[in-house]
Amino acid sequence: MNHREPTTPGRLIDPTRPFSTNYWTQRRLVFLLAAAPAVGYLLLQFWPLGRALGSALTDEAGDWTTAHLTRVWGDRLFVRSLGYSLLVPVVSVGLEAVVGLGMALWFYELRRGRFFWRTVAIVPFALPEIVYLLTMKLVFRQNGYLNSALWHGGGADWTVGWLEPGRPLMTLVVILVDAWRVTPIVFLIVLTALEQLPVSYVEAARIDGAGPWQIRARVLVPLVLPALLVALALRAVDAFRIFATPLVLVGVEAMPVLTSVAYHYKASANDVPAANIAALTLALGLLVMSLTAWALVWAGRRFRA
Amino acid sequence: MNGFPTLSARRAPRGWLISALGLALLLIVNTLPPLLVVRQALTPPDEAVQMPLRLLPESFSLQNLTSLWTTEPLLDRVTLSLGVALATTLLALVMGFPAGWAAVRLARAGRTIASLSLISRVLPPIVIAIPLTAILIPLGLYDHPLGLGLVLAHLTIGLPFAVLLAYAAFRDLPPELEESAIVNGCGTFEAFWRVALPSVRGAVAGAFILVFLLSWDEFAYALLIQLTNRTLPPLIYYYTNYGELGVASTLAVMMLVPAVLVIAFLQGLMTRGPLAGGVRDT
Amino acid sequence: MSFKPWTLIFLFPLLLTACGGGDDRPVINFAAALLPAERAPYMEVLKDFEQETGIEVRLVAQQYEQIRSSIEAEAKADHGRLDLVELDLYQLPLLKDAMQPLGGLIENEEELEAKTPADAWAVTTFGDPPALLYLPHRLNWQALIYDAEKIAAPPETWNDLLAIAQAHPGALGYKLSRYEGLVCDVFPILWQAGGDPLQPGGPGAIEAVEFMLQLSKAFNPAVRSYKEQTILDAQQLREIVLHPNWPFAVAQLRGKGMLPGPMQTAPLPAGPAGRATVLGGGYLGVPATAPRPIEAGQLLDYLTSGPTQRRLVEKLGWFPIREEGWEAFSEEDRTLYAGFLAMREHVRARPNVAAYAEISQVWQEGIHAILFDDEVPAAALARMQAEIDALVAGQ
Repeated sequence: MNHREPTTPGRLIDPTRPFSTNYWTQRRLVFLLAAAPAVGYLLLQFWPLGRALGSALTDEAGDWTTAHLTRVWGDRLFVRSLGYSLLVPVVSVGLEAVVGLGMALWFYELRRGRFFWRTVAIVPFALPEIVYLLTMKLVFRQNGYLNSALWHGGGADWTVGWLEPGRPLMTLVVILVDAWRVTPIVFLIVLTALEQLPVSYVEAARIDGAGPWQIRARVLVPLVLPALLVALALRAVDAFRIFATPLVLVGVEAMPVLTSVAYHYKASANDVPAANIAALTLALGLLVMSLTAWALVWAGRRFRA
Repeated sequence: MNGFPTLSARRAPRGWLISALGLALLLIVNTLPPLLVVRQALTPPDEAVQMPLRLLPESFSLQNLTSLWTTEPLLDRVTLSLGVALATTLLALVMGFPAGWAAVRLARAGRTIASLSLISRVLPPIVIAIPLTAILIPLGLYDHPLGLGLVLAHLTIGLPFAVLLAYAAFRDLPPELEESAIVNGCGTFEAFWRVALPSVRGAVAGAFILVFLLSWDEFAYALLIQLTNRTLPPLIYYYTNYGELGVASTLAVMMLVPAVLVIAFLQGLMTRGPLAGGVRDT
Repeated sequence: MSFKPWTLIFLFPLLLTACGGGDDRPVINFAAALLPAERAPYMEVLKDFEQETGIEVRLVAQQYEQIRSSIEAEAKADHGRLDLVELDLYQLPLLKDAMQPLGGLIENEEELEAKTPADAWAVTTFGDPPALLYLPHRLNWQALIYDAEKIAAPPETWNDLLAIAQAHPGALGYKLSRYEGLVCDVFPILWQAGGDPLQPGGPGAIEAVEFMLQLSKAFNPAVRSYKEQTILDAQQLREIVLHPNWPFAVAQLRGKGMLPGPMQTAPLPAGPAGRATVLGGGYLGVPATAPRPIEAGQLLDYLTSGPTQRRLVEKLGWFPIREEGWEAFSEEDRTLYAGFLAMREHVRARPNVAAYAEISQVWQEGIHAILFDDEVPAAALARMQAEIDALVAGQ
């Protein structure tokens, strides 16, 4: 930031320095403007969270109770959702790291049609989420296009229960669908980082006799690792909040996650305290994950240094 | 630009073939499913259940569209989606851009506010939607015919983006611009309105597209807050759930049209039209 | 920035909204749980009402749980837009405080009381002095849907069902998700054994539970997640060979060309105490916050009148609330719904007590404990008895 002396006294506000006490009215106005969104967040996000906490811990008469907690934590649906909610970010982020990095390295060398291929690569993310999920449902359902293609290939016996409840394949397909939607983001972040590297690094390594894979492994990947880690940290936090994908593809019972279980408690049973407990468990998990992600980012910066 | 990197002294023909195959696979995997949605929308319902499905249906028909039109008040739904998206965008810009500008002026306090926006972004909609419904009900904003409660909910998503974008854009602005305006006799607000804001036209357009699409595509809040008059995403989910995939696909195609239009329109303005030059060169 | 004409495009949706309310006719909002396929024929029936009375009816098709959410929200806000709502039978006691009495709004109360089955009428009145809060809209009950290509003859008795279970392991389906549908599958078995839902510790209950345990060896692994639609999907995909379901299943299967065809209907098998199935149905009520209750009452009279009921029976294959409505049941429908019609005399209602929702929960948790968590049936039933006694005593 530039720091300079104000050039003219009087009605002037110096845009480069924090306010001095001579300009109280304008300062108050500016403060109000800046605080307005904060008030908005408070009213529309943090206050509801507080009420959720209250609803989870009080009964109808208003007294403190742990009855809701025991009821929810004893519900098998909720326990299963904990497992899935933890599984999804782990597998998803792993997939996105490998595929996103791989795609970025591959596109790095693309000479022609970069804009076109980049647009093609981000299509899953550019589509509205529900539309993307509808396309995937059309493809993967039992009577869907993938099974139809297999049927054309080898008959009805070749069809697979991609989304059949109770099988690990179902979980894998759901996670794949979700990961594929977001891999373009990781890909774009890493590709941008790659393109900002001076080409001279690559040239120097090549002149020193390194082969293409050595260049990728020893030069490119370490240099983009910080950007990749930041992207993955953000993605892990997002993956924990997964909601629509399992809901639309297989339904709450087949693959419960904390978000869809909260929705299920509210929409099907109108059990608001239970819904709030599921939601708050998610919020707690997010807090933990965000702190971990922040720590990873910090470590990434140290790594680069 | 940096120039193209060459990782190896010669181009191996085998590597080229793998690359081409990979690109073809990418093209198919990414563009075929959306096209299948269009195909599903145009397939007559009785043909849609016969396995195995073919790439193109035997006959094209608009039956899905007509049955949708007669049973669902489509105009109401689309208007609601559009109205909520526009209202959210306008409110987010009106609140967010002055806030971002002010945050830049306030140095440390401003950074706190920008960080607050980041934190808000982390909270997932479903966590907030459930207690928020309890708050909206006594206010009569739950399941409102014009979606007013939903606009408030979407603001929690759109406002952080607007604030962060504005903050980043205004921070890159050289102070000389406003300073010279003030020297020439403008008040603070005039300096903002006449000098600072027009200088970040690109960011305004970008924020418009972003917040509009966030609201237009939004699913979780819309599912919980609107029951009687619904926006398009929960409507698609409703039909998908009941196995009416042809109708759901028709709605999906309808959802895509404004999104594409908005992007193309404002992209064009940003690069060639009145908003050109608003984007700062990095 | 100077004003650009193209910005007007953004005012377009606002204009649309403004133009929408041009009519002078009174408009009522009617929320009903119609399947997407049922909406078009139902709206034709409504059109005649609109022409006769000049009242415009805006039909909102939702699931029963969503209608319930809407009513509760409107009651809390003390202000609402729904004039007439359809609710599932089991929800009637839960929402009685949000409904207004129909006495002054309708005209054919006595006639309906005379012509509707007693069980179906018993749930419409609440409070002291008794006030009529609901009118039946359509009745239904469950029957067996089975795969005629895999099963030569439908099971007539419990023993037949056991034989089928042994012959088709992993292909038996029941709706055993943790929701009201579970008791709709379990109570008939209970009644078939001579049991009583309010006496889980009584004689018939242990027999019924033992029978279910034997059947459970042949359950499809996905039974824990089955609800009405998903179990029907499984039947269509031939993952299960039979399951109990409501009449909507017939309409869907007919739409896919599977019934008549590979799929058939049959009455639920008879147990030691005979046949039984559970009563369900859609009931109409007027919320206390309705803006136009009088017009809603007119629509109520229309929808429960003899001619309209016959039209609904004809067009949608619904089971009528009036005895005479059955005459309108077409020949084609009689073949389609043969299994359902055979159960007409054996329909029983769920317990009509104030604490029913909690009692249902007790059964849901108890059945899950017995079938999936390996709890000893006698102990589980004794526990359930204690809980139900407490609930009944406390209401």
